[in-house]
Amino acid sequence: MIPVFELHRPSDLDEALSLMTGLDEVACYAGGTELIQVMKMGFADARHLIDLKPIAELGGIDVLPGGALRIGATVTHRDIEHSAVVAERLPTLVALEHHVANVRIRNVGTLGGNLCFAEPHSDPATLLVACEATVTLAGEAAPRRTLSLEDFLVDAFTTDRADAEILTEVTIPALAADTRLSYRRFALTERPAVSVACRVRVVDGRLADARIVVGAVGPKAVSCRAAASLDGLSTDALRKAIGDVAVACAEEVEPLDELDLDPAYLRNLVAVHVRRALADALAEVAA
Amino acid sequence: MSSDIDLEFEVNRRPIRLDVRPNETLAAVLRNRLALTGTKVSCDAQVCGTCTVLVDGRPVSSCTFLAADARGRRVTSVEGLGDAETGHLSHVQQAFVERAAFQCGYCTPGFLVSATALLAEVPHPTREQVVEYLEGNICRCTGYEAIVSAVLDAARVGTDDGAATP
Repeated sequence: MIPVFELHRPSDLDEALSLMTGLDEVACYAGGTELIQVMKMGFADARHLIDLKPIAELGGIDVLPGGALRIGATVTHRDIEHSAVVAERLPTLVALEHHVANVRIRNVGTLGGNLCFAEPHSDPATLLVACEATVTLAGEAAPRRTLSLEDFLVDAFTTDRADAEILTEVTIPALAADTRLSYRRFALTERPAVSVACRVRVVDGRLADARIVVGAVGPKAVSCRAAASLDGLSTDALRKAIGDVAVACAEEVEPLDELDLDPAYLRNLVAVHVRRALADALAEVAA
Repeated sequence: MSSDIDLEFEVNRRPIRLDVRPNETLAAVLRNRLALTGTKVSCDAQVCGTCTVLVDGRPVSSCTFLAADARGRRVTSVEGLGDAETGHLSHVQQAFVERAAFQCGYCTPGFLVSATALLAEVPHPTREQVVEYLEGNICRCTGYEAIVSAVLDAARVGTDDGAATP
């Protein structure tokens, strides 16, 4: 049974922000796949729910001048999965979205909701941190602020969003033409047990701006420091170094204590999937 | 202090208007208010797929979908797949009967609704596409082989019936 609440349907963002500021025990939702679920389970409560779906400016997928991709907070996983614009600019995200949860959740759940919920096992968070995506937050009578997704995600189920703020959009910077992305997940349930995203640039046969992000194992998606050791390597040298880098990334991860999973097993999963994700990215470079 | 919501929507091609509580789920409204008990609730966590209904043609988990969010939308439950008046079954339902694609039958309404959505989107799926699409529907009797075969049968029959067969 979902606890009793009052439903509000503001028609624009200003009205929504004023409700967020003026009401007590208030939460906003769009798809509800996360919030309604945890309210039903007794893990969250709210006396007022604000439906963000009617607010046009929170929707839409656009290419900004300069080539960055802007995805509105209330865009569903399905909309991303089927977006021609995203398929052209960020096919790795389309492929990832195709495997998020199940088709019912993809039809209803939104990218903004997924990120605000900060579930450690979020698929999109891992890839979007690798892409150095940013999120934009609006508050009443305050200038909008934009921060990196990596900083926005503070801990498991905790973000930097203030109580009365609303996430408006996610922005993914344009990738350089020689950038390759890869994403690997290993799932025992619908949510991944481990997820790894790699971003690699290859300039004149050498790696640059390498990022390896590991999600689902620790409380939040983390960008591994070990990735910095890849910069400057030739692709041949990377092939030799890949095993050591994978182990170094695994050592940086602090596995969550859940499901009685052995941390050593989880670290091994991380190493295996970092290796595979890097190999995927390299294969793309070779192609 | 929560106010009722005047909900107007369409269920199985019939216009419906009723007052719902904000915290009522679509599954609860279908089952308890409209006596459409074909929709089952099992896991109550959007994982198992027994409560699948279509909203504007797209499958959703009605156990966690607020009834209020169905305003102005077309809802199709398992009762709306065939023709309730004549008893005529849809291609998908008929194929499930012919393949005996159920054991206990509890998951069947969800599978029927999901498969209907798949065939509307992809009329000629491969076996792999069927398996992938239905991965969010769970049959604890593990009767998946017959279910997948039935969906492929339904796709073929749907093609035979169509005037514009590719």
